[in-house]
Amino acid sequence: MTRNRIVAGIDGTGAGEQVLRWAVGEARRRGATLVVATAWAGHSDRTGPASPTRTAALAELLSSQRSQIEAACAGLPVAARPVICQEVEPGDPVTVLTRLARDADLVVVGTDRDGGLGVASVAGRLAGRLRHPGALGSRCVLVAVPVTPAAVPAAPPVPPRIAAA
Amino acid sequence: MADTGYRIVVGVDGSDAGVRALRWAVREASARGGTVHAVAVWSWQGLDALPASPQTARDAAEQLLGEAVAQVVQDAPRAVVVPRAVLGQPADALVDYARDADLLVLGSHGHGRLFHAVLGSVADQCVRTAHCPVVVVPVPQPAPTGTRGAVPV
Repeated sequence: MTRNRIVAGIDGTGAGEQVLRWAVGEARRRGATLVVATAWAGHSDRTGPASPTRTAALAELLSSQRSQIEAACAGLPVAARPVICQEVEPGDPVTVLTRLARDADLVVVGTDRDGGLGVASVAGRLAGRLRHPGALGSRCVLVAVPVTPAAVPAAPPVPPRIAAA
Repeated sequence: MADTGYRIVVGVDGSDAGVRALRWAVREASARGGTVHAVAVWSWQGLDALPASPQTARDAAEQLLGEAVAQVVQDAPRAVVVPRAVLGQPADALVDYARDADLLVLGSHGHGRLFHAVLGSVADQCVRTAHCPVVVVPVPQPAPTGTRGAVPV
């Protein structure tokens, strides 16, 4: 069995840090590799030959991922961190996560409990993909982590509920 | 493994999806030491509807729980599985029961003997309202045979 991977889908909002906190804790418990994934949608120049704007946009997404990863791992000694890979892939979030989930045990996304915003709909549509045969690997499950709305970036992150165990 | 206080709540509805969810939950709990609460939600619509009485509805829930648990613990004899029949509407009751749980586990959809809606909508509502992470376990669908989609029972 080669899979021991968790895919965590994040976007540029503060919700990503909360999702990553849970995913980092879970990856540590499982000894799994954590793949931090961001879909690169809505960029007109995302395919074709490399261009300075595209390189800059990619660098910005990777750097945003890195700072969210750092925030989620805050207080963890480096040796206690799981192996973390960063992925930025062109496409809409559901398609990107569905593709990455094929090699994963868990695919983790955030849901805004107050409803309706982007993150919640990604979880809902990913859950819908589960209904299609073979859309995700037969072993991969979706984990929807409730996150508080990211409107106030200064708010302290929600502590991962699972860590107390 | 010693009990770590880790608590997994799983919705069981008499469908294959529920059994898959339960199997996933039991494997997780076995691996990390924890307790699985297998929850079947039941309700009673009144005298004009089936089942004929609240007791019948509750008995049916307990029976399908017992069957599902028996099916799953065969493979994990040391797992701690607590069966619970809970009165209410499926999503509300599950979210409420899992208020202090570490995980709420559901099948992606199902057509249980008790549920009149496919679990898809239950899972969707749980994902939107739960206080803990919700695990949705995929259920491979058989290839469609003529009719489109699943017909609620």
